[in-house]
This record gives sequence, C-alpha cells and structure tokens, in this order.
Amino acid sequence: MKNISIKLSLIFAFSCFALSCDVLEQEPQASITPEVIFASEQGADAAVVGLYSFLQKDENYGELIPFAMDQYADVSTYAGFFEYYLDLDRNVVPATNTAVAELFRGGYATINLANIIISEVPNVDDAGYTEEERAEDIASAKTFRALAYFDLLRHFGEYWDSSSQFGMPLFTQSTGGDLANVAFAERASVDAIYQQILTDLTEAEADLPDSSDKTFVSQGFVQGLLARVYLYQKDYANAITRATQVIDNPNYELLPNYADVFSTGGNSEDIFKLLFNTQDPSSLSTFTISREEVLPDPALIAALEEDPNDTRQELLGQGPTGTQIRILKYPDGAGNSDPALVMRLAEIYFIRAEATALSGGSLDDALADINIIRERAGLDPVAAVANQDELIDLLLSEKYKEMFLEGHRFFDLVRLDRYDDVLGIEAFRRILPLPQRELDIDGNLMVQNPGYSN
Amino acid sequence: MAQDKVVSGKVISATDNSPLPGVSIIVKGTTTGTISNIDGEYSITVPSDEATLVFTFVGMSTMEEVVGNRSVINVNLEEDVTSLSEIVITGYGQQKRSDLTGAISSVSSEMIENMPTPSFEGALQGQAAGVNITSSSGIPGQAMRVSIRGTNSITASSEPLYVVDGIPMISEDNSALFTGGYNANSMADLNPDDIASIEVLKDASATAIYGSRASNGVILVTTKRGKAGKPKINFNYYTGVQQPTRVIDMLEAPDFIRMLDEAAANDGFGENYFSGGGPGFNFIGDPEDPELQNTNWYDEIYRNGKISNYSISATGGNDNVKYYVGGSYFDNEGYVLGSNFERFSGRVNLDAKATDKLSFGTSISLSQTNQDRPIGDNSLYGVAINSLAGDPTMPVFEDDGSYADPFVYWSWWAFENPRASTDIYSRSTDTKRALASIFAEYEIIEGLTFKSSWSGDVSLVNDNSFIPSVAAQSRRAGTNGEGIYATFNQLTWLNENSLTYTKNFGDHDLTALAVYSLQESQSEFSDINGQGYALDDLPNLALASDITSASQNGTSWGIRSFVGRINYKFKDKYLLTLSGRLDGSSRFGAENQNAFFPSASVAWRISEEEFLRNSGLVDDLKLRVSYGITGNQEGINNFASRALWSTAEAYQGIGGAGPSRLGNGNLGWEETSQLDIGLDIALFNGRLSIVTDYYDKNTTGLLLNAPVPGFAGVLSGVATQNLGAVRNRGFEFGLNTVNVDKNSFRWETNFNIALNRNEITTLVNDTTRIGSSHVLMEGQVLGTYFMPRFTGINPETGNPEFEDLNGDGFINPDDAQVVGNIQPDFFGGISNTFKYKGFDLRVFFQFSVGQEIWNQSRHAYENMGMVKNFGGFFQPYGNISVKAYEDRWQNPGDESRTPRLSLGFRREEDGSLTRLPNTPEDNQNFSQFLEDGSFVRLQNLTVGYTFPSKLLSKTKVVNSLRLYAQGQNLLLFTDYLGQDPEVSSNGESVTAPGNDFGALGPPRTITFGVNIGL
Repeated sequence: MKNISIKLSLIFAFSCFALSCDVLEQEPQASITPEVIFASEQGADAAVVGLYSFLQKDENYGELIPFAMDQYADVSTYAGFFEYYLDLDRNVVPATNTAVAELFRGGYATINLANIIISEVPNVDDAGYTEEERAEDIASAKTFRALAYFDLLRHFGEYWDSSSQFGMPLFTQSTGGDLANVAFAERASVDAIYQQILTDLTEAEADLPDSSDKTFVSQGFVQGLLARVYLYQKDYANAITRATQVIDNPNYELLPNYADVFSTGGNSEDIFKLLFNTQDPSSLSTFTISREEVLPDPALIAALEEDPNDTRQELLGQGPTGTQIRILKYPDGAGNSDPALVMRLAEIYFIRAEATALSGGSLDDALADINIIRERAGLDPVAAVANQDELIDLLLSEKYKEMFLEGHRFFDLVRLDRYDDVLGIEAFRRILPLPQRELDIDGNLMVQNPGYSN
Repeated sequence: MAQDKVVSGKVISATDNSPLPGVSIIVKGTTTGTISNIDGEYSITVPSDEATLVFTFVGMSTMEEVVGNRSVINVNLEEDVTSLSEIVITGYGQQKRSDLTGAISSVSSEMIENMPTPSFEGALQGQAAGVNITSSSGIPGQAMRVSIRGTNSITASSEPLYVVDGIPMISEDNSALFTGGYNANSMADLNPDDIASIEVLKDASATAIYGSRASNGVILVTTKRGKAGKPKINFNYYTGVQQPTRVIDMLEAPDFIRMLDEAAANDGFGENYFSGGGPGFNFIGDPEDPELQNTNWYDEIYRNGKISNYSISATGGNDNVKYYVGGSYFDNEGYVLGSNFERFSGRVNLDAKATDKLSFGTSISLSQTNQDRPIGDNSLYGVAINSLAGDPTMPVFEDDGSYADPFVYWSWWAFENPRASTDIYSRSTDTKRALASIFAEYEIIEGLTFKSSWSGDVSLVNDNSFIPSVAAQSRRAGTNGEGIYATFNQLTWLNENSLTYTKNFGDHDLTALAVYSLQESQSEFSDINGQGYALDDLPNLALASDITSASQNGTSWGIRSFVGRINYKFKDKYLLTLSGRLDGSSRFGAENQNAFFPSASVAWRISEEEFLRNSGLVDDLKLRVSYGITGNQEGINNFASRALWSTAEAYQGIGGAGPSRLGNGNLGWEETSQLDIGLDIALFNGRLSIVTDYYDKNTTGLLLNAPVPGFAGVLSGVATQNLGAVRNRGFEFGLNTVNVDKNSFRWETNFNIALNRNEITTLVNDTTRIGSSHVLMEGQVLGTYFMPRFTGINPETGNPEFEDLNGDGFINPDDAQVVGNIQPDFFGGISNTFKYKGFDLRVFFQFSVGQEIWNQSRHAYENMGMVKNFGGFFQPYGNISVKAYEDRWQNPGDESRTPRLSLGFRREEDGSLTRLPNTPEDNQNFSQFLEDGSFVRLQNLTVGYTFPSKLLSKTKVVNSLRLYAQGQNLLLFTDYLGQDPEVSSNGESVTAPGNDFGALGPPRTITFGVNIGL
C-alpha cells in the first residue's frame, strides 16, 4: 500500500514536469505572422487582397468617405444620436470628432499596408511568382497608396494651394508591423503629397491591365484618378487629356438607365467599384436603411423633384415603417451588400467639363459633357450658357443631383469656391481639423490646421 | 521513570452538549496525540500523572487538563468568542487568525447562506472593509464589479482572482451575444449554499503567493466538506418577490401634450400647437379628451419578479471517509419582463484517509445555468431605453392585437415598442460548468507532506438569439427575422504539486512550502448569424434562408509557476512570512516571459509580551507590516506581444490578409508593489475587536492598450504596451463589538469603512479621451468625467449655459474639462444583530459617499419638449419626467436648474425656422447630467426564529428549524435622480464607469425562508 502510494505520487509529479515546456508555447489560431505572408506568392496575393479589404472598412469607403463630407454638405441630414454625425450635420466639427480620427487612421492603414507590399514583394522567395505578377502587385499597391494620400489630402490638407505647408505626413517605407519601427513625422507640403501621388500613379499605369473587370483597380482607374488629381491641382490640360483617355476607352459606357448604376455587380459605367457581400458587409445601408439616420437633405429632395422627368428621383423613397424619405442608392438593409462607387464614368464627364470651362476652353464643349449626363437622367439638354459662372452653377447643380451620397459634393463646393454661399461656413472649415488624438500622441509635431483652436 | 497510563473520556460542546468529533488531544510538550471519534470519545496513553492534555478544536477555546490520578477525563469545550483561534484559509494553506501577518477578511457561510442573490459576490456587498462591490444591472445573473483596494489597471483586468478550493476559476463572460455593456456572470455557476467560507486577500503578504494574477486581490472560496459524525441533512428553502428600487415618474398623456404646447408657444409657434386644430399635421391629441390613450411604459415592462431557492445537502462520515453532497435549484424571474435566471447545481466533496500517511479526495461541482435577458441599454431596441421617453399616447397593442409601432406615434426617441422588446426579442445563454479536482496527500516523514492535485474547469456555453420578422429591427432592415447561435467551450486544467514541512523547535515554529504549478486554458468558439426566416414560430437557424456569417476560432494560454513560502513564529510573539512566486506566461514577449513576485511580512503580537499578557483587558494586540510585489496579466489579448496579420480580410470571397496587431517583444507584466501596515486589537474578552489597515499600492508598467499614431497602420489605433502608473492609497477600519450579552440577549455590531485615493501617476499619452464622457489624465483618478461644464440656467432666458473653454463661440467636446469622478470618498457597511432566545434580527446598512454618476438617461427624459424636424413635420423627442416638468424655468427671474421648455427650433417673423443651439440632445455629453451618486441603502433586514431544540427533539426527526423573513435593498436614501446610483451602463468598464443610460438598478427583494436540519 505504501509503495503504491509513493508510486502514485511520483506519477503525479512527473507527468506534469513532462508537460512543462508546452504551456508557455501557444499559437494564435486565426492570425498569422508577417514572415509567413511574404514567404510565397499566395501570401503576397493575400496581402494585395487585404488592400481591397482595408478600403472596404468603415473608416474608408465602407462608410465614411462616401458619407461624412456629404453630411457636412447639403446632401444628407442626420437623425440619429452618433455624435460624430451630429457634429458634421451642424457644420462644426471638433478635433475630437471620431469620424475625423477614423478617416485619418483609415487612410494611413491603407498606406502602411501598401508600403509593406511595395517593400516586401521583390523579396518573396517563390520561383513561381513571375516578374510580371510582382510588377502588377506593386502597381496595385501604388494605386491604393495614391488614392489614400489623395483622400487624406482633400479631407485634411490645403489641397487647393500647392505651395501650402499644410499637407500630410509622408511615409513610403515599411514599418514591418513592429511597434519599434513606428515613427512620427511633421506634415509634408501639399506639393510633396501631390508629387508622391502622381509618381505612384504614373508608375502604376503601365503595370496594371486595361481590364473590363471594374471591381479591381485597372489602368482605366489610374487614368481617371489622374484626371481627378490634376483637376484638384488646377492642371486643367492634363485633367482634360486624362479624362478624354477614359471617356474614349471602350470599357466605359454610360448606362441608359440611371438606377442601374447602383446594381450590385460591376457594370460598364463603373471605373472602380468596391463590392461587398452579406458575409463581407458595408455600413452604407446600415445608416440609410436599417437605422434610417442618414436621410436626404430637404434641399436635395427639392432639387431632384424640380423636374418631374428626372429619373434620379427613383433613388429616393419611403421606408416600410413610418414617414421618412430615404436615399436608395444603398438599399440592401438586410444583406448590407451594396457596392461603394469609388469612381464611375459620369464623374469623368464632369471633370472634363470643369477643366474645359476653367481653363478658358469652349463653354459649348463643357456644356456638351454636362448634357450627356442630363439626358441620361431624362432631362432636356441645356442649349447654351452665358458665361463661365453660369456653366459652373449648372455643373454644380447637375453633379449634386447625379452624385449625391457618393462623397463628392463638399469637395466640389470648396474647389469651386461656393462653400460659403451654399453652406455658410467659415473658410477654415473647408477642411477638417487634424484628429486631436494624433496631436496628443505626437506632442503637436504636426501643426493643426489654421483656424482650429486647441 | 513513571508508568505509561491510558486516559479516556468524552469531549462535548458547552454550548449545546453535543459530542464533538475531531477534537485534537495532545500530551503537552510531546508529539503524542489523538483525535476524538464520532461520539466525541477519545483514548490516549500518557507517560505520567504529571502530563497535561491539551484539547483544541476550531472555533472553541483551547483547554488544558492535568491528568493527575484520573483515568477518565470528560471535557466541556467553550465556544471561543475572541475568534483568535479561528482558522483562516490562505493561499495554499491555512492559519490561525492569531498567526496571520497579512490583511485578510473572512466572511463565513452564515453571511452567504439565504442571501437572495444568484451569486455569492452579491452577499459580500458591504461586508468586508475595502471591498467595493457594485451590481451594474438589475437583470439576474449579470456580472458584478468587484474592486479590492481601488482600481489598479486600465486595460488589463481590475477584477480580483477567484480561487475556488484551490482552483483559479475563470471568471470572464463567455457569452457571444451583445447585450449592451452587460456581461453574464460566470461566478453564478457556483451555488452560494455550498460555500463554507470566503477569504478576501488584500495585502501583498497574502496575495503574492498568487504572483502574476494577484494585483487586484484574491478571493478564496472554500466549499463545505464532510465532518465525521452522524449524517446531517440540511434543507434550505426561500421564496420571494422582487421589484425595482424606484421608478422614474413620467408625465401622463394630457400633461405630455400640454408640455409640448408650452414648448411650441415658447418658440413662437403660438398656443395649442399640438392640441389645437384637430386631426392632421402636428396634432397629437386633446389633453381634455377623456378617451385619450395614456400608457405608463414602466408599468408595462416591470412586473413583480420572483425568486426562490431549494437546496439540500448531506454531510457525515467516519474517521476514514467524510463526505459532503449538495444539490440545489435556484430560480429568479427578474423584475423586468423577459429576464430570467435559473441554476441547477450539484456538488460532491470527498475526503478519504487510506493509511496513516496517505489521504486523497475530490471536489466536484456540476452546474447548469439558463439566463434569458432582454436587450439592455446602449441598444436602439433596448427595453429600458425605449421606455425612458416613450410616448404615453401610444398604446401597447393596436386594436388588431399587433404591437403598436412607435414610428407612427409621437416619440422620435423610441425605436421599438418596449413590450415588443421584452416579449418577442429573445436572447438566452445556457452554461454547463464543471469544476473538479482530485488530490492525494502523502506524509513522507513526520512533518513533511507531499500533495499533488489535478483540477479541471470546464465551461460549455450556448447562446441563442432571435429577432422575429415583426420586430422593428428586422422590418427596417428587411431581414425577415434574425437569429444567432453561438457556442463556447473551454477547458482549463491545473496541476499542482507541493511539499509542506512543519516543525517545532522549542520556541520556534516553522512551516515551509514549495509548489510547482502548471495551468493551461484552451477555448474554442463559434457563431452563426442567419436571417430570412419563413416563420417566426421556428427560430432555428436551420430555417434561416440566408446565413450572413459563420465563424469558428479558438485561443489558448498557459502559466508555469514555482511557489515558495516560509512562515516562522518565535514564542508566539514574533511572526515572519516570506513568500515568492516565479511565473512564466505565454502571453508575454520572449524578453519578459518570466517574472518573480516576492513578499515579506512581520507581525508582533504585543499582547503576548509580559507587560500585557496578564492584563485581563487585552486579548490581542498585533502590529503587522507587509511589503511585496504582485503582477497582473489578465484581460489582455492572449497574443498581445506578437506582430500579427488578420486573415479575415477577404474581398469578393477571395481570402486576404492585413496587419491587425503591432508586435511588442518587450511586453511584460504589470507590477504592483504594496505596503500594508495593520493593527489588530481585541479587548474585553472578545467584546470589542478592531482590524485596521493602511496601504499604499503603486502599479507600474500598466498593461495599456495605448493609442498609437494613425501611421502605425492598425485600425484599432492601439497597441498593448507597458505604459503608465497608478497609485491607490487607503485606509480600512473594521470594528466588531458585542454591546450586550446577558439574559439570553445578545446585540452585536459590525462596522467597516474604507477610504481609497486613486491617482493616475504616469501616463504617456496624457489626456486620452474615453468616448465622449471620460478621460485618462495624469494626476486624476480612474473614471474621471471630462465634459463641457454646465454653469447653470440663465434666469432671464431659461436656457442652459456652459463654459466655452476655448472661446470659439461653440460648446462642443473641444470645451471638455475635468468635472468629476466616479471614485467614492468612502464606503462601507454597518450591521446590527440582535438575538433573544430563538429570535434573531439583523439590520444591515451599506453606504458609499462622494461618487458622481453621469445620468445620461436624463437627456432623454429631460428633453424639455425638443422635436426632430422632418421638413416642418415635428416629431417630439419623447416624454419627460414629472420632476423636470415641475422644476422647469417658466418666467424671467426664475432660479432653476432645469431649462425652459423648447422645441429646439424657433419660428421667426418671416415664418422661417432657426435651429436653436444647446438642445438636450446636443448637450447629452455635458456636465449638466452629472450627479452626486452618494447613497445609504438598507441592504438587508432579516427577522428569524429558531425553534428550541428541546421542542424539536420530541419529533425525533428534526434537529433544527429556523424560519425567517428577509428584505434585501429595502430602502434607498439618495439625491440621485435616476433609478439607482449603483449602476453602470458600461458594465464593469474601468475607464468609463458610472454611466447611467437606461440602466436597470438592483432589485428590492423580499423573501421568506426555512432552514431545516435533520
């Protein structure tokens, strides 16, 4: 009996010593280390898909880029209790607003991932990963990086003035995902950011396919984005050239029926459409449909109802409960699978019209581009405009009715200097304040935008 | 040399003359000893007539008898009133209270039994100095917040470590369902009736033996074990009712309309704007109409809750085998419709003595709990939230029997009919829990014992949630019903092997302990979300036409520890304890995986010195000093130190990956050093005793999910780092007096009070805002409110005014400043117990003073007539409280703290509308709704009667019988305007506590019960 009990004790004692090494070695089950990612082509491709997934986030095109500044402008009103929307709706956005923080973080998250891909892809040790495939992956990353810098610049930087020092901090090197490599930086100049965007886009252009799949970035999207960037930079000649390049590309045609633009698949009018599905949802319909909080501004309803033939009215409608009129561009409240329209052909016509008019070109040519959009919406073409101002008024009003809740209106009003007339905001509110949290973290190394206190 | 001689006898209790088994009888100055048997009888061989026998038994005064010429010595042991010989459970051991060098509060089973709460923490409220326990919700089975000596951590857990019969019990909420800040309480898996005692370890001397998990204090739960003797069967039963403490009095329908009319008149819309005219645009109803619908929403969602508990246990055994077997059923229907909690539990504790040297045993507990809970606060479709400002002119049901839809009535605030929320939104969590351990103990040589134990904590959780197609949430999104099914299963195993050596060398007593311990936890979880149900009656996910998401994942962690402790005692006067624990954790970076947590403490029993020893006045006077370092690693991600990419970054169904966590190879333990100076005093033969402690705790290397720059590229915006420091200093005082004890009347008072001063001493990112209400700031306490400051109501205009801190002309979060905090100035409890013959009466008050509560709900029920404007169609925000209506500013010159009634829009001369600033909605995060949350609560009132044993002995069956009535939370004294100041809509959040947003306070409970012993 005694011996048995001693043996028993020994078994107890030894069995655990044998296990001792194991308990401190635990591995995560749904995450992976960066070394594993960049060990194969499959991993590198997953990282590129990750760029699309980052662009889908609420911080980017899954909610805030299409919605935040339209809320600020006269596109939508807010009927909920999220402070960040209420601030935007009241046109007084404090530096502590969470949408401000998220837009900033969302942009740099995309940039960080793009930086890692651009630096790691050449080093992937996988013989099956061809030079062409690597070049295309790097070109995709550069396109995303350019888009993110551009979105950051127009939300937070003085993008209308290339000589301004109020650009964005510029990072093009990989952090490798390690806290030790995360650095702070002062703001680069607006011009430096534009140069980075243009360099990335022109380098990416050649290596991307001229594809008819609109749900991935393509040569056509890069050209369209170049047109948009040149327009913001007031480089009208290049904007016209790039816009014409896209308009002439047979991959892109306006759809005859306006409502079809917002269908869930890619279509001929799309230049880059970000798809969602029920398992990979966006928040677009969450706010317009499920929560009924982002609602059309009365001014928008009035503008769309001005002409009874305007087919774009179909994108407004009443919900199943109650009295509210909702915007139906993102109608899938149940599945949240509506796509985000990063760029579509209608915008390119507007870009060319604006660039033509502002560069002193033919107002008739500009009007022709606007009439293409009007006629598609069931309206009569406008025969003539008296002067540049009248054309710009028409362009703004048409683009308002055409592209509401796609995230363009506020930037149009600022770029064309109508923000005061339409929104009645002070000049410094043309851009958002830098997030207070970022200034707190970096000890005010970045200088807050002029006019914003703290 | 004298002759050996045999002495025998019987030991009985002086209190009730019952035989005492298990009494230790030792020949003084030798190691010869024996133990009394079931009938209290013993027999021992003594060396001579000069020998002295020492009789000791837990809870009884020790007695010494010189043998003399006797061969039969019968002894009556007296109950020890001073409790100095009381055995206190400590980490990996036990000690006499008089030998303690650390700060440990004990709560006995009497204080826990019969308490009408689902889990034992509820019974601890106000009982132990320095232990602040608050319930965040009145929903039965919800987690409670327990803080011992202040809050030490920010991101990591601030909850104590729970150790049940030596097993560190997993106390986290494992339900996957969103309930709006509230967590399910996994401690409710334990039946409080099975608990023999609870020890709260507070200072480093007591806790450091739990090393890396001890910073927040340790709560040791010891369950009942068998005692040798005749089988005893106990049956306990209680049943009762529950109600909310207070209900907010809302305006009735006619006043609701009058209120809105006044608001409209104030803003230039003329008289009778909502009641004039008759049916049509902006016509709500006629206040004089006797047929006017009038619904009190609180009446609709509250009910008389029910609570009952049945528990039965049997104990007994002989010298070799002892058993405790218990079973119980607890059933609680909360006072809110749709909230239920029930528990079935069973326990078997066995101890067997195989040989003189070998013993083994087991502790096994099995339970099943089922919790149904309505949607809590912070949810658009939540029950309380929709009742807060619900439209009184809306009926519960339409004539056709369907739930009335708030969208066609007069409250913008309400998203759902509250009764629909309670009745048709269902969410339930079923938990099966097993806590089991087996152990064996072997005495290798005299004084040296080896013990080995294996334990398992198994938890299986199933969640079910269903929102039918008729619910507003489902209709608005067009989902045709939404269902969630989730599972969670976890196994945590523990193996501990210890050597204990006890030796007495004359005046020196030494106990040494060494432990090697391994623990590993593995969990797996999955959840499935579906929608598109054919029928609301069959909420099974198999019938969902569309599975919107399905996921499966798992995680794990492990800890390896070496533990050592030495207790040394010299002449019963000078006591020394040294302990240390070396812990290694899988959670930390390779650089910092292991850490050592030492402690040292000394105590001087001044009362044992010659000059006091025979004073007859002082029973005990002991000075204690301890210092030690403990750690914390709970509450952070299991892989917080690793650079990780998430693989859940798909696009168009193609798998993708992206950075989700920044690597931090230097991540290590959060450490708390604690100094404790304590004084124990017992006077007048146990009539007065005092335990008082001063402590100073400094926590450094805080495990903090600290903000990182946006450039870091992680969307969480944070990385777990060791940054910052927190200090807690405090003073605890406990007083126990026996005021009267004669002629069968006994009156005893227990009082405890604690002060804790909390301060964030170092923070790398100073002024880190938490949501729109709280802040982390150096020099401030944890739980500091940071909001624009309300300065009062302008007596001329009736409008609220605020401090425009940055002078930009707008009042918004950029004007936020420190306006208060959640930390109480002091808190504690006082209980008076009266006993007269068979009657007993206990009156227990609990208090907490100086904390502030952010009553965010008031922005809803004090909206003062605000409307939402939909193109000229005005939808009122919702109803307001009677108090707000009565206190409102009405005329220039009125001094009021409540603003005038206003729609939030003014009609100008030209008919245009101007949106007014600073509506209650705009101001919801401003300090105007911050209130003093001080309270005194009659936490417990119990009246009982124990039948005399003389009477019962005639029955030959019943040995004891007690009947009682008990009221829990009977009275609440507070200036707080909400339902109850003891709430938190953010559950157990440390960074944003004290928010009341539709929170449901703890219930008032009245029960009747019986305790029967057979």
